[in-house]
Amino acid sequence: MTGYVSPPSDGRDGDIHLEFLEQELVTVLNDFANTSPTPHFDAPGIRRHTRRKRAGFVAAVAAVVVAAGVGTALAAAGTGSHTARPAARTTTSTTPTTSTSTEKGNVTTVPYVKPFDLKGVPLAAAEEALAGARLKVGTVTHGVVDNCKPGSVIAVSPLAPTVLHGGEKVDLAVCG
Amino acid sequence: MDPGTDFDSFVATRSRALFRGALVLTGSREAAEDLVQETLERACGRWRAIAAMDAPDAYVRRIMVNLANNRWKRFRRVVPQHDAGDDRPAPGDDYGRVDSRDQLVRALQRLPIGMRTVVVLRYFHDLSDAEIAEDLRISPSAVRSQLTRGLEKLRAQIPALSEPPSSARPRKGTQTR
Repeated sequence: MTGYVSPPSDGRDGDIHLEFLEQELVTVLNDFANTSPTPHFDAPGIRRHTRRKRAGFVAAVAAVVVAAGVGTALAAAGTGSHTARPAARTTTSTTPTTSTSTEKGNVTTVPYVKPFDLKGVPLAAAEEALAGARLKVGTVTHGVVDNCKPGSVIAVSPLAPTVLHGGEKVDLAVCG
Repeated sequence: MDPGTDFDSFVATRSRALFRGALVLTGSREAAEDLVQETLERACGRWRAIAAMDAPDAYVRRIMVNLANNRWKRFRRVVPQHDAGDDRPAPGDDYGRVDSRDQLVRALQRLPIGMRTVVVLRYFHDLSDAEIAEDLRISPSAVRSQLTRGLEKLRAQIPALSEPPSSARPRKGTQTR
């Protein structure tokens, strides 16, 4: 039925033998493109927005940092500080270092544990990482944030600087 | 030039072309506006690199096309189909040109997004197979087959456009009298 139909043009220069349908497409597309006036796009607004977004991104990374160790976990809150929140009940030997914790009497000092960042990590890898730190995976919810890769972790709870102990649960939000 | 004003002037001078492209790609004013807005945000995020390119336009268009493509794939957004019967030309009106153009617009919006994108890049942006392939990061032969199949689908939906009305249609053994 389409035996007489020639293949579409390959768009190279000098190719003027457009078929009727192709000519019509060119016309129709151009006509359609003119059916609506161009709305205003606020360039300075977009620039501000982008800058804010970038700052937000950094904050998100910091927020999703969960520190976990054997027995005791310490959220470093991005500063690498050795002081945990007063609420931390430490279960393993803590070696009070010459810490900077001079402000409050009841600050507990625990060994520094390198926090790990779960943001953007595939769910399976995140579960593995948590298991490796003797933490359990709590509820896994799904959601979407701008630009996220389906199946990757977009948020965790509790957030840094909460201290987690072995066996405690971490809830994850996964993209998609 | 200060990258800020540079971006602003890009938006001022190029947003019309971008919006037109978005309009034919999405088929709706709202979707097109969203698409351009998001494209500009992306472009702004890496403006320093884009501004240094030979053809910032082409790169930004590429961002837009891929954004549209991915979004459609993800959400399977359904184009409203006030379809069937309605679209078929009334008998005797087979060659109503305006009518078949109208149908063509609608048929185009019903193409799968991949095919639609290729058709738009070819017939609206006037790109070659190779350029389209590069934009979409697919092979030229994939462009080719998408294009061929896209046109076939359009033809199948709008028989009146298979040939110019002038050549009337004394083909296929219809010369009865």
